[in-house]
Amino acid sequence: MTLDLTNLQTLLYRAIAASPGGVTETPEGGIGVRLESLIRGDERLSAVERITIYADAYFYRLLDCLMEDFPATLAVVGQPAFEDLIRSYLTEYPPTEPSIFFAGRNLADFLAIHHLSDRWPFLAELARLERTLIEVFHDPDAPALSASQVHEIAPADWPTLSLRTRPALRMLDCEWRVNDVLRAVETATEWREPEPGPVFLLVWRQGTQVYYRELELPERAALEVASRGADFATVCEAFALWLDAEDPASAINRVLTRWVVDGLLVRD
Amino acid sequence: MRRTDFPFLGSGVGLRRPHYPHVLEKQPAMDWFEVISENFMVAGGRPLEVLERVREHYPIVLHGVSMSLGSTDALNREYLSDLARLARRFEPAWISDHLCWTGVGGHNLHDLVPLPYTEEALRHVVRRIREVQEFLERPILIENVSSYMEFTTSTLSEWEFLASVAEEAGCGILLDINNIYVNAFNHRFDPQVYIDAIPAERVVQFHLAGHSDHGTYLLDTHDHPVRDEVWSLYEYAVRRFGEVSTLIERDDNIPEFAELAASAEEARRRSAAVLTKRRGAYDTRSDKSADATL
Repeated sequence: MTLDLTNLQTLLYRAIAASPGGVTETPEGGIGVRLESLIRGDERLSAVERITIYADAYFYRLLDCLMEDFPATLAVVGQPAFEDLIRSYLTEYPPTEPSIFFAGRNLADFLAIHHLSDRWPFLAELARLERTLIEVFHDPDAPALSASQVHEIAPADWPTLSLRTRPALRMLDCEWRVNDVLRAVETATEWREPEPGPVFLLVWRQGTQVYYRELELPERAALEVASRGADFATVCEAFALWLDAEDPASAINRVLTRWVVDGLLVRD
Repeated sequence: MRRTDFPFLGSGVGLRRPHYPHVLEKQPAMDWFEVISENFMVAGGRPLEVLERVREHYPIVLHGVSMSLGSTDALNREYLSDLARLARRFEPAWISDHLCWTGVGGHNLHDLVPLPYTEEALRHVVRRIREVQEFLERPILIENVSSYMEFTTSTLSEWEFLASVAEEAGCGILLDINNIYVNAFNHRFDPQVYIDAIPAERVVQFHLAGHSDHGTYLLDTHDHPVRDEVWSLYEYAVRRFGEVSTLIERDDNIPEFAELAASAEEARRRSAAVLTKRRGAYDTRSDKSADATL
């Protein structure tokens, strides 16, 4: 039987990718063609062995990429469980984009309903933090509001000054202190089960470096408002709403200084 | 399209992440860099900043791995738009991708899977290359891929297929010498027959890389230095095609930059030696002709 190009490619795709790490010898799809009738085998390698080379390359290329993207998730579950995880993940979420950069974009969602999360309930949040670091690394650029620009703003203009956070900035609200796990893995120290949160995390890029740190609730609220674009007075109101006893003016001044030093803002 | 439509760039290496600091800080002597297009088709951040700075000092070429020219899925217009935008920004000497398919049904294998060498596949891929060239408003180069399987339905040899595609689509050829060597072993053909069959005026670039020997097959792993047998085939190709821009690829087990630079220098030296000898032979023939005239 001769297949047209579409059917041939569909059959081969299923053979290579349907069972990540192995070859599906009778791929589903109703074509009813054996691989041996499509691929030339010889005494060195059978048709199935030849396709296995592609199946192995598919799985291990993606595994390598995801091990690099999720080092802390890997450290928590260990190599064998991580490989099993990626096998099942690729079956559920096979890559669809031209760039391999997107391969891990659904891993956190997948982990949220995976049995590994019964043993490590923080795992999905940890994977989400790792994925966010990668996405922020590639987010668009925008020139940050600098200290000298801040000093040039007339006092009367401050209340109506329109601000926005830079595009390469994300906030994560976590139920577990997964930042402690990631920091431990990054510094090659022994990681421990994280304490329950909540913890508010800021991930941002300055220059070509990606950073993350914890946020107190007032700063979290103020950045949330700024992320949608707001005037300075509204940002301050959001900040003060969650402030306890401290003098709001000096607290806002301290936070704003840090935002400028960290390059978190653009002038809208 | 002829080779002379493109600049001769000399010997270069693939720009890889571990070498970014060295290249940016030291600006080492290197004729040119080839970059993987998809690594820079992002909104912003470090990759684009690196490429901006590299481009200030070196010619670059955009080499893609995901155009999927042979797929029966529709061409990915978003991908092509991103590629066109990248090309406008960085002005590469040329754009290349592979003569293969990388996915179907909206899925991506992130691998370079060969086509059957049939008239149907030939017509299909020629039409798509023409579409891409029209979209990008420039001729592209297509690269021969390494392969580990052959289709029972193929009616053409790999070299007949490559030559016909290039001629009919009006594109250039990025001839990967290592891939020819690997395929010659895996599919039992004479690599020199392959090289002899390629239209010389369409060969704009060579790739050289290392491979792994798995006993029953060779795997194009790009994790070793170029092997002696491949260097010899390279010299054969230089004799056949003349001076062609050459690039050393290394994607795994990446050594110090100096080692890759030494390989690029080795390519330059071997090419020059072959061409000098070839010119010598030509001059000798000319002298003999002149003697005969006298």
